[in-house]
Amino acid sequence: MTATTQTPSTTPRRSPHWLRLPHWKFAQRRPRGALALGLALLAVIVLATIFVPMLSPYTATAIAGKPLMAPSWLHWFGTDTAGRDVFVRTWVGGRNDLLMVVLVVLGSSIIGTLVGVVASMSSPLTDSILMRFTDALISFPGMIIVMAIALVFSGVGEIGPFPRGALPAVIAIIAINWASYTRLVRGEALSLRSRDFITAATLLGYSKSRIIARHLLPNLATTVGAYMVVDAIVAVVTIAGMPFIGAGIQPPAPEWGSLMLAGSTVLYSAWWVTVMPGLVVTVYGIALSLIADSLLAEIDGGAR
Amino acid sequence: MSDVLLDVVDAEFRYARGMAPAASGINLQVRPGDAVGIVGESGSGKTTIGRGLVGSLLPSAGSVLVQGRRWKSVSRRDPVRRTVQMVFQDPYASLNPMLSALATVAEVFRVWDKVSADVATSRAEQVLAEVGLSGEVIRRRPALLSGGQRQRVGIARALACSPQVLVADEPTSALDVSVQANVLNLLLDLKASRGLALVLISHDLSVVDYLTDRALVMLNGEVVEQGETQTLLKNPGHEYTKTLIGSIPGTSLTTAS
Repeated sequence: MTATTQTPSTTPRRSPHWLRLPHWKFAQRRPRGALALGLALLAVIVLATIFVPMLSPYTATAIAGKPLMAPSWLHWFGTDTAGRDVFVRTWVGGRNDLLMVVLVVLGSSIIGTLVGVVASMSSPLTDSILMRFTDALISFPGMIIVMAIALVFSGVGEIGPFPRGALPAVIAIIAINWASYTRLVRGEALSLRSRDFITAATLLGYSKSRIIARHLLPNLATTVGAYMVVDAIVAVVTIAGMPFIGAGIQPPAPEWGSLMLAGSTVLYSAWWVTVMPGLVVTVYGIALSLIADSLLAEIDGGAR
Repeated sequence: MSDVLLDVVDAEFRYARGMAPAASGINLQVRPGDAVGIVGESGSGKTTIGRGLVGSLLPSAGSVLVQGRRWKSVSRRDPVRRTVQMVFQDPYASLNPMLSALATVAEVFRVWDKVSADVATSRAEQVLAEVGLSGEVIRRRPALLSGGQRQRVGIARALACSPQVLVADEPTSALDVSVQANVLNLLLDLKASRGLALVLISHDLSVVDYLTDRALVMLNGEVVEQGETQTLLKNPGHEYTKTLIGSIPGTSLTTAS
């Protein structure tokens, strides 16, 4: 009995397969180098979203020149169909997107982690109810729920740094997105619960809240953290996709998705309107996937 | 009042309703200072009994009484819970990877004695010193400790609760041979210095012989033989006990008989 009930803890923990991205070989071989490069790229993007709007002679909504001017020293990313500077609009749009991503990822991870941990520590009935609800949410087409919620809250105007349409979009995405965290966290928490240190904590009479706060959550942090980075990529794609269905940040406030959508009608004659913001989104995705891969390599115990 | 700390009366243990019992017909009494061994091969039900003794598995029939009370009636914060603590087989899985040795032991004092962090740390240092750990090493997380050091932290965590019975489930099976003797001697020293009762679960008769006065021999979830350890070793009554004795390196069934 004794020998068969334990899982050797020396076996490297494998991250769930659906948490894996197409791997960067570089990130697998040198996770710390990949983490540094990813953080550096992300820092450049974040700093640009802060300082470019402050330092640029143009504003995001004012006309800066003739429509559809090609990239030049005057307009690094050219101008759009209305003659607005695409460079400054890209970074102001990036700021809007990143603020929304931060809210989406934080909100989803907090709600999802709490529900997942509570489900794992609850009675089978409570666990079953919570998880069936979670499964139903995951299996339902997410974009339909996002559209419905975003439309219900479409009357919400500009709040603080968030332009009109941003917060309804954030609420809508969180409303469906937390469920994937719950699935991940519950599975990991159940695995941790079978470990002897949790049994020891129970035998020592520790309360459930203490076991969750001191023993479960800290051991879930790396996995949830890695998934948050992956989710930040998915979230920006979702946010950028919302203008295509009439939801999300409303014009004239810029956003990566709406910038690319606006350029799609003139893609062949004025490629820069779509391609330049697209390149920034690509660099953002590469930065986060490098960070995520390096974290996943750490979770796997550096075995790869 | 009876001095029996643990009283197992005709207990049967199942992991799920409808499943065959993992152990049945178990009778055992543990008094202060006792050293009881439970020996048998893998799958014989040793660990199941260990889980029943510490209250993490309730009997499906019969009873397990701790200081005269059924485990079911002992709440999370009931002082009776402190009576029995467990040392686990796998020192790698039995410690929270995120907590240092000191934090692991100090937490017990924080929870049970409701003392400040400083007092808990000070008490934890004393207990860790009792198991032979001190200095910088106690501020390390488990990943930076050797197997023997981790097992000592596990023992210290159990001791922090001031138990009267220590149930040690294969405490040396995951350790190097050179470290096993140290841990066994530590358990013997603690038994003497603290007046602990010890229940040792092991597949290794030589370990049971070294540490215990009484032993139960388990086979297929049932006790096939029990009595004084020395008597069992010298005059085994059951064929399975003879086989176990014969499997000790350096002995043979003939010499055992």
